[in-house]
Amino acid sequence: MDWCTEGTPSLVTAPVVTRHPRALESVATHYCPGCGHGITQRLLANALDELGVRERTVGVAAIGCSVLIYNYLDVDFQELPHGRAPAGATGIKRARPDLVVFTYQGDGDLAAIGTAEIVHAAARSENITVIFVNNCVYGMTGGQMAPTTLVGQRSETCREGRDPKLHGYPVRVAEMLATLDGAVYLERVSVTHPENVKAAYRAIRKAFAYQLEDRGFSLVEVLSPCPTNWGMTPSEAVRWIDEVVSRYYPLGVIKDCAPVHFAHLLEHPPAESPGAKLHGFHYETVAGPEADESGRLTRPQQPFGRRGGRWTAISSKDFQPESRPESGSQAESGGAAGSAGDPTPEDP
Amino acid sequence: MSAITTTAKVRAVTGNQAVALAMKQIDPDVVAAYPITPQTDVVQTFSQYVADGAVRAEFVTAESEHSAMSACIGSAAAGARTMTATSSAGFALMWEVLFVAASMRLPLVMTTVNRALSGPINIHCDHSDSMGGRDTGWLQIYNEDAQEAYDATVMSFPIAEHAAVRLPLMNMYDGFIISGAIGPLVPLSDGQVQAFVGEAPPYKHLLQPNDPITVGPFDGLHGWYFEHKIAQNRAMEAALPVIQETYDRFAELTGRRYHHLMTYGMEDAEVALVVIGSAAGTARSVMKQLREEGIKAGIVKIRTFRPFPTEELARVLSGVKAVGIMDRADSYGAQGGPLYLEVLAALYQRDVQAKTVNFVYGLGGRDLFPQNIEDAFRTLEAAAGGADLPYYRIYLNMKGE
Ligand SMILES: Cc1ncc(C[n+]2csc(CCOP(=O)(O)OP(=O)(O)O)c2C)c(N)n1
Ligand code: SF4
Ligand SMILES: [Mg+2]
Repeated sequence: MDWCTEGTPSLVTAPVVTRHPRALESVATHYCPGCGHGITQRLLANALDELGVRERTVGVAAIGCSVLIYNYLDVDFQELPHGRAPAGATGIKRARPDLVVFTYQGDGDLAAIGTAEIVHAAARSENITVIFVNNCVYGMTGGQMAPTTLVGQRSETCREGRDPKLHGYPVRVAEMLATLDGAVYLERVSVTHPENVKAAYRAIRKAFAYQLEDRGFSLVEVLSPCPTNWGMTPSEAVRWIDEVVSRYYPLGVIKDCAPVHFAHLLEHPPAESPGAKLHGFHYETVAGPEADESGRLTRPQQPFGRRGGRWTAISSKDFQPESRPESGSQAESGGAAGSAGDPTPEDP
Repeated sequence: MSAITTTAKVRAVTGNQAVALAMKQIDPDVVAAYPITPQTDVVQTFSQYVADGAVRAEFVTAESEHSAMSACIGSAAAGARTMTATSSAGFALMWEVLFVAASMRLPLVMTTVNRALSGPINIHCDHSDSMGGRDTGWLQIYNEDAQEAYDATVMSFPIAEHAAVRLPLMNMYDGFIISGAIGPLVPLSDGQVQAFVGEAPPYKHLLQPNDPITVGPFDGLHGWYFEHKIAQNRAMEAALPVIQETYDRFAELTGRRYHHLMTYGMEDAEVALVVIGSAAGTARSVMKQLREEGIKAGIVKIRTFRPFPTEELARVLSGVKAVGIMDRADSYGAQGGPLYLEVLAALYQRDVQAKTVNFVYGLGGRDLFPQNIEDAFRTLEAAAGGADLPYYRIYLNMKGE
C-alpha cells in the first residue's frame, strides 16, 4: 500500500505526506524490488494529477519490462510493437490534438530497435511527451547488452563487460536528439535519492506542461536502476547510478528552448539561435543552416511549416539563396540538392 | 543460462541449449542477432561461447532483427557462414529482408523458435511466425524436440550450401514447450560435427572485390525478375532430394534416421492426424492407446515443410479413410490453416480420396491435451464410419463458444 494515511483508520496521527495519486491504480507491482519503473510511473501519475489532465491523457506503451504499465496508470493506453511508440503517438496526437499523449519507453525500445521512430518524432517536433527509462540493459529479455550499456558494464551478451573495440560506445540519447531543431525540451534525471526523485518529478511535469503549451517534442530520460540484471542489491544499484552511470550520462537539462522559428535562424547565426540553452555538452550548432566565415548562410534548410499548426509557415520566396547558378545548370543537375552552396530547390 | 560442454553421452538440456551447442560445434563465421523471447538464450548461450573463446565467430549485437538479418545478408554475401535466431515479432520485422536473402541465394541458417504474433501480445507458442513466412523462399524444417532441433541444425549448412540448392534455411521448434523445457540430447563430438558440415562449396556469385559484381541488383520490367523467381522454385525442387540425402548421410553417422515425413502406425491406418512440431509427441502417445482399443490410428509428422513433400504425403495418406490436419496457426478468411491448405492441395492433385478436416489448436500457447487429440481421432473414426465432417475448422480446447 501507499504511505498515505488518508482513508486508513487514524491510529497514527501523522500528517499526510503524500497522497495516492488518482492516476495510479491501487494494485500490487510486478516490478522487481528496487526497480526504477515503479517510481517513474508514480511520478508520471502525480504529474497527470497535478496538471489535471488524467481524463484526456493517452499513453503509448512500449515493449520491455514496462509493457504492463497499463495496469498501473488509470489512463487509456495503446500498445505497439517494440520501438514503434513514437510513431503511434504521432498518429494519436495528430488525430486528436486535444489529447495529452505520451510514450513510455525503455532504452532497448527507444535507443535500439526504435531509433528511427524517436529521431523522426523529434525531428518533426511532434507535440508529445516521451518518458525514456534508461537502465542500460534490455531488462525484460534477461539482461543483454543495449546500445546504452556502459563501457565495462557486464551483461548477458558482453560477459567480460562492454568492450568498445567489439561493441562500440554507448548512445547518449538526449544529447543526440539535442542536435535536432524539433526537440524542444530534453532533460536527464535519475530516480535514486529523494532530491533526484524530486527533480525527476519536476522534469516530467514540465515535459507535460510543454505539451499543453503546444511547444513540441519533449523527452525526459530517466536513469533507472535494474538491480536484477545488474546483479546488484537495490541499494548498490542506486549507488551505481549516482557514482557511475550519471557520470557518463550527466543529469540536468540538455536542451530547453522555445520552438525554433525559421525566420530567426535566418537573422541570427546559429550560435545565438533564440531560446537554445545547452548544458554539459558543447554543440557548436544547435540548429539551422551553416554559416560561412562572414556569417552568411551557405546551405539553407528547406523552409518548413505546418498547416494550422504552431509554426509560422515560411514560403521559399522569403528566402534568398546566396548565389544562383546561371540558367540551365539547375536543369542539368536534375534540380537535386547537391553540395554546400547549392541553392535550395524550389518547391515543386 | 549456462553453456554446456560436449563430452558425455546423454545430456539434459533445453531446446535452446541444444541448438546453441550445435551452433558452437559448427562455429560459423558470423552470428548477428537481437534478443527476443523465447529465442533469446540460443544466442545468449552462443555469446557465452564467444566470450569463452570456444568459437571464432564474429558476434554482432544488432539493434533490431531487421538489422540483424541485413547484417547476415551482408556477411553471407561476403562469403561467410552465417547464422542467426529469432521468434515472433522479430521474425515479422525481418520480413522484408527474408525475401532478399532467399532471392540472393544466400545459404543462411536461422533458428526460428515458434511464438505467436501480436496482438494481443503473447509470448507463447504457435506457428504464425514461421507459417506466415512460408513463402519467403526459405527452406523450412519443423522439429519435434531438442534432439531433432540439434540434429537439424547440424544438417543445415550441407543442405543450404549444396550447389543445386543455395537457399537459406530455417529450423523451427516450439517456443517454451521445446525451447525452455529440458529434454534428453545425444550430441555429436565437435569433430564429428565439423566433419559432417565440412567446407562450403565454392560459389562465384559473391562479393569479390578483385572481380566486382553487384549482389541483388535492380531488375526491372525488361529484366529477368520472373526467371529469377522460377530459378528459386527450381532450387526448392532440387532441395527435396538433397535434404533426404543429407538425412541419410546423418543416419550413417548417428543411427538417427529422418525423413521429410515421419510416420507412425501408417502401415494400416484408417484414420490419421497430420501434425507438425511438438504436438507430434502428444499425438503419438494417444495414437498408441487408441490402437490398443483396436482403432487403426496413425500419425504423419511433417518435418520438411518447404519444399513441401507432396508426392510422399499423398503416398502415405492414400488408403486412409479420414485425415485430420492439425494447424497451430490460422489463415484468416481461408478454408483452413496453412498446413491444411497444403495437405488438401496435395491430396486433390494426387487424387487421393480421403475425408479431411482441419483442427486448429494451441494458438498463443493454448494447451493441447491428450483428450483433445482423442476427441480429434474420435471425430475421424465417426467420419470413417460414414459421418460427415465440417467444412469449417474444428478448434481444439477453445474457451466459451
Ligand atoms: C521486434 C521485437 N524484437 C524483440 C523483442 C523482444 N524484446 C522484448 S523487450 C526487449 C528489450 C526491452 O528492453 P528495454 O526497452 O530497455 O526495456 P526494459 O525491460 O529494460 O525496461 C526485447 C528485446 C520484441 N518484443 N519485439
Ligand atoms: S528486470 Fe530490471 S527493469 Fe525489469 S522489472 Fe526487474 S529491475 Fe525492473
Ligand atoms: Mg532497458
